[in-house]
Amino acid sequence: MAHDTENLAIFRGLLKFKSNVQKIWGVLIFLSIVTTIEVVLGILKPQSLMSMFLGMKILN
Amino acid sequence: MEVTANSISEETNIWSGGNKPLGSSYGKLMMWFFIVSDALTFTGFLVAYGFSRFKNIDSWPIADEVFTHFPFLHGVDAPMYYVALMTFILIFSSVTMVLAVDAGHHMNKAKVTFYMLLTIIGGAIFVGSQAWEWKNFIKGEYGALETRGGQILQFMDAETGKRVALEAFAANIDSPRTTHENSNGIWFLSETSLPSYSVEEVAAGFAANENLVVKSEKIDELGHKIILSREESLRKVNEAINVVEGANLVHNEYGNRLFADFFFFITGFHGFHVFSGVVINIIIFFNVIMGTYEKRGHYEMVEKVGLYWHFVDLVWVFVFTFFYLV
Repeated sequence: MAHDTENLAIFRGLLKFKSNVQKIWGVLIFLSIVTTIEVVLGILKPQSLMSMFLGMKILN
Repeated sequence: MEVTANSISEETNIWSGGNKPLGSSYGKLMMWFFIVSDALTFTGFLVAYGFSRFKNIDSWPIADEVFTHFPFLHGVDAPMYYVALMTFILIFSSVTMVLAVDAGHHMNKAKVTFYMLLTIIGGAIFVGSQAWEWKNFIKGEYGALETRGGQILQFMDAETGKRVALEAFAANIDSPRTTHENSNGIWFLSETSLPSYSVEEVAAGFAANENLVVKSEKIDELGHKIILSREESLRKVNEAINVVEGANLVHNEYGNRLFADFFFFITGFHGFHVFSGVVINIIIFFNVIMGTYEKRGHYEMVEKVGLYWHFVDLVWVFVFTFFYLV
């Protein structure tokens, strides 16, 4: 199928994947890294991120 | 049915049914229509939740203090860890779903079967975890008093700063009061089961334990619950009219009663969707095993259930964000 080989790159071509399956795992890994950082920040709650910005805490 | 739809779509004349809007098949388009309308329903729930929470922002329970359980870790304070884990499991089941769709494009029956199975297991774990969350929420952990105005008074040890359960301090006052059943009394009156302790027992126990204070449902400017002084606490406890253990649609020990209502409605409605998704996935799974889609020549049905599954997953991301995290 033609659409199998389209759009295998993410971040404007910074990362290119060889197949759809690889891209699926690649995106999962990337989002997992982002999630891990956010979870760690959420557990540690560093003082610098608890200040107010636009009436809201930067880190909830 | 599907076969009929496909034979029609081979028509090339637009006005005879040969038109595929957005290059999408009939079935997929209908799934999109359903998803859009369902998204509006969830939007309604979340917007109503937002309004009510904003209106009661000074007394809204802190989710970190409500969802603290983790299976097999009794007494360990694990705020949100289990909800985060089950969220990850649901997202992972979306990954296996898209892998199944991709395997379907390659007409790989074995892989579609395997990934559908993983998706079903992930969805089932999520629904089971949700049920467990509900069980904990309904059962409650510490218990609280409720004032005439509907405020919830929770109890904590002023020295350790830890919450204290009613059973740890409630006095034992002999009382003849039992649950009224219509079989042994006025037949047209009945009541739900009485809490384990009466208001008098809790108040007496509170007065006897000098280190106990009330944790009010009000929030200070930093977002923490306001803890009353011992004198204020004693005054507040005397205003109490109800003992609340756990949660239902009318009372809940966690604070503002709307919180429990929205918890039940939003997570319940979403859980119902996941349950339906698991059932549909199981049906498609057996169709895959029987070779229905192999014979049909395409695995579009897996794509359609995939659309639904990703949607349910996406909705949970929003529910998780607005109900649990923010």
